[in-house]
Amino acid sequence: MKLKKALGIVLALAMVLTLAACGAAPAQETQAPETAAPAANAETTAAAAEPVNIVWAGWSGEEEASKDIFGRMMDTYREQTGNDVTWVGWTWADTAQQLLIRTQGGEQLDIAQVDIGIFNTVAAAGVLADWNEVVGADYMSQAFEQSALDVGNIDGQQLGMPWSMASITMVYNPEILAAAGWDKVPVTIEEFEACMADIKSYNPEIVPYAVSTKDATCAGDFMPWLWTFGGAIFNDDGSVAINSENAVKCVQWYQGLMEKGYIAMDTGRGEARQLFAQGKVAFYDDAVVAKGQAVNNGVAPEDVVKVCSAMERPVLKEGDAPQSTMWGHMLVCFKDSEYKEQAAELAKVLVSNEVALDYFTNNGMPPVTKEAAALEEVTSDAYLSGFMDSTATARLEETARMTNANEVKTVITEELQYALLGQKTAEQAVADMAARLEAL
Amino acid sequence: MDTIRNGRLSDKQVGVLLILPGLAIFAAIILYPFVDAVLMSFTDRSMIYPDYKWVQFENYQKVFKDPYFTKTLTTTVLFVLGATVLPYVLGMFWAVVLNQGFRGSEFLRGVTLVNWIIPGTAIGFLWSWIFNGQYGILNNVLKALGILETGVPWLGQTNTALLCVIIARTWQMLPWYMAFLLGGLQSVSLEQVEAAHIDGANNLQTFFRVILPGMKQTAMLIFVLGLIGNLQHFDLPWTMAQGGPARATTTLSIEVYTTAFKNWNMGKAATVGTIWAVILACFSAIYLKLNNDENA
Repeated sequence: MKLKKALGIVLALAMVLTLAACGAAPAQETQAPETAAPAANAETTAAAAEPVNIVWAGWSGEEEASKDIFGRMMDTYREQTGNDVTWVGWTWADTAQQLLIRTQGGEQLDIAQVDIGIFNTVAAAGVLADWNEVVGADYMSQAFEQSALDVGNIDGQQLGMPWSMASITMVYNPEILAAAGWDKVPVTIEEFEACMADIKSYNPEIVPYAVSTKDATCAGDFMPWLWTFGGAIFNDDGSVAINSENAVKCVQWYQGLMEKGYIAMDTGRGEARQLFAQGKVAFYDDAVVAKGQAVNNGVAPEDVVKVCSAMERPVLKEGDAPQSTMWGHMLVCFKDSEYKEQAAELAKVLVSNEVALDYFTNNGMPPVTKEAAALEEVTSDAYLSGFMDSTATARLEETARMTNANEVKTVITEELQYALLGQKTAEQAVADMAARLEAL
Repeated sequence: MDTIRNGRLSDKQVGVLLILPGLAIFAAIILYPFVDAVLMSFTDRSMIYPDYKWVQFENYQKVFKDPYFTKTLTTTVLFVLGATVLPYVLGMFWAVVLNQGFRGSEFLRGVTLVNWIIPGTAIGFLWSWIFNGQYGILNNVLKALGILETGVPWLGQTNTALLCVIIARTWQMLPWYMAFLLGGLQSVSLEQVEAAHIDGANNLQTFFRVILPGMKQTAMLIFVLGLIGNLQHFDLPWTMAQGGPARATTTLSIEVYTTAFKNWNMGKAATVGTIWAVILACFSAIYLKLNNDENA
């Protein structure tokens, strides 16, 4: 009996130890960086002369249109510093999730590219370092305009270093418009519809407007149209504002476009870019990176404006302010990184004139440092000027400062889809959007 | 035998010692995450913030009151039934054909298995391309045949999106059903089949009255395993439609993924996961019962 009891105790101990081992590991990992931070800094200083390998994460290095440019950026860093850099990439849609998982798992992560749409989520996790402490506040204020710095500043901490800032606006194919009899871009919604009708008559195989009707980009495309109709998702105090007559009108307008065949279901940003590059789409919404797709398809950088130009979003009546959403990429450095100094060196390489111009010329990404933005090649660029016109009135997405931005966007997307598929009236879809947002 | 003799361990005690390492590994990689997930379902844990608090049954109340959760359950049932019955029937048919042992049947068996080897995400992208409304090959074929005038966004309509995913899943899993059902068919006594033919039974009568009863237990087991596999399935609905449009392809697996990794709400995701696990446990119990009956 004694042996049985002893065996029972051993068994129970083994189970408890196993569970404890599993449970304790993350807690130790979470606490370690804070307690070990000074030691890590000391090690970094001691090993500053030794080449190190830093980890840079993001999504653009995964995209065909910018893969080569990212390769050149990393080569420049290696040549200039003697350090190595490893790229870790995912799709744009998975970036926030992967960054959070990687930081919580304690894996090495020194610097990352983040979109302003996910910046707040990553910042809220408390994993980002203050650039003012990493590179110095003087460098930041000398290199960047205050307006650009403000986008990356949360509660007085400069958690994001501006890398590129512009807007998501509408792009169009001038050749298709010309073929449909339009020498100038439509200014009002009425003209826009007339233009789409002419495009449809010219070639029924062309999708006049590849507005996003699925995935994470659907709500992003919907927002500026909602503003155009005078609606909003939230009031200034954060209460839900979408259940309005203007929002219903906007959804009804979307439904009308669908009925006339001007827009299509199962269209995301990826499909829109692909079809636009093939000359099968006349208009769609995109950021300056649209250029990269064209260049990647064999169009010379200087000829991109002939097949892909930016325009201001049509307005309800002439004189209204055209709507667009702020778009940009920032560089973030991680609090737990052992190589913040080396990450800062990479950040400086990335915003340097030489690298920024390469990115701008081949991908359309506008440089954001004062010096690079003032370069002749940038200020005289016809392609960029179209985007900059829209940027003047661009607003941050209403969800940009929310940690549950994706949840809000999912609700908008799903209810809009119900309306577009005729399963709900515009009134019902908007009312359901409001009810679901209030329940979050 | 169970008593301790001369300080030696009994057989049962040795048995317990032998299963101890396995039990510890089970506790570490299965039991602990499961218990942790169940406990998490009673919290407001988020993927962003490290702090959390107990919320008792609040997550469960929210989930069961959500009308969209009922739709998710319905979609899951439709997907599980469709993605099991269709490949099962086709797999059975193909297994019967290959069981005839004609020349080349072994080659065909090998070729059929190729679908099963291809990774799920690759299959998802392949079928997304086939069903794409703008440049999909299906629309082009149907237009060339004069059946369609304009392209149909198969994955962009609520009435066709789930069917498209089921078709892709059928293509993926048909070889799995075929392989196991073929094994079941080959276990049926040839003498009984021949005797039925001699007695005047036609092929259909032989199949339904002799072959199927002869492999009933195996056939049921494969069906239940198929149901369980589809209840857990994630890759194809996600890669092909991301749960849309208008939640038409949102199954429980998609709901858990988006709640946890898109909306960062780990507590609610764990709640849906726990409900999902209970449903899975029911099917697993049926499987175990059938398995025991077969072994009895």
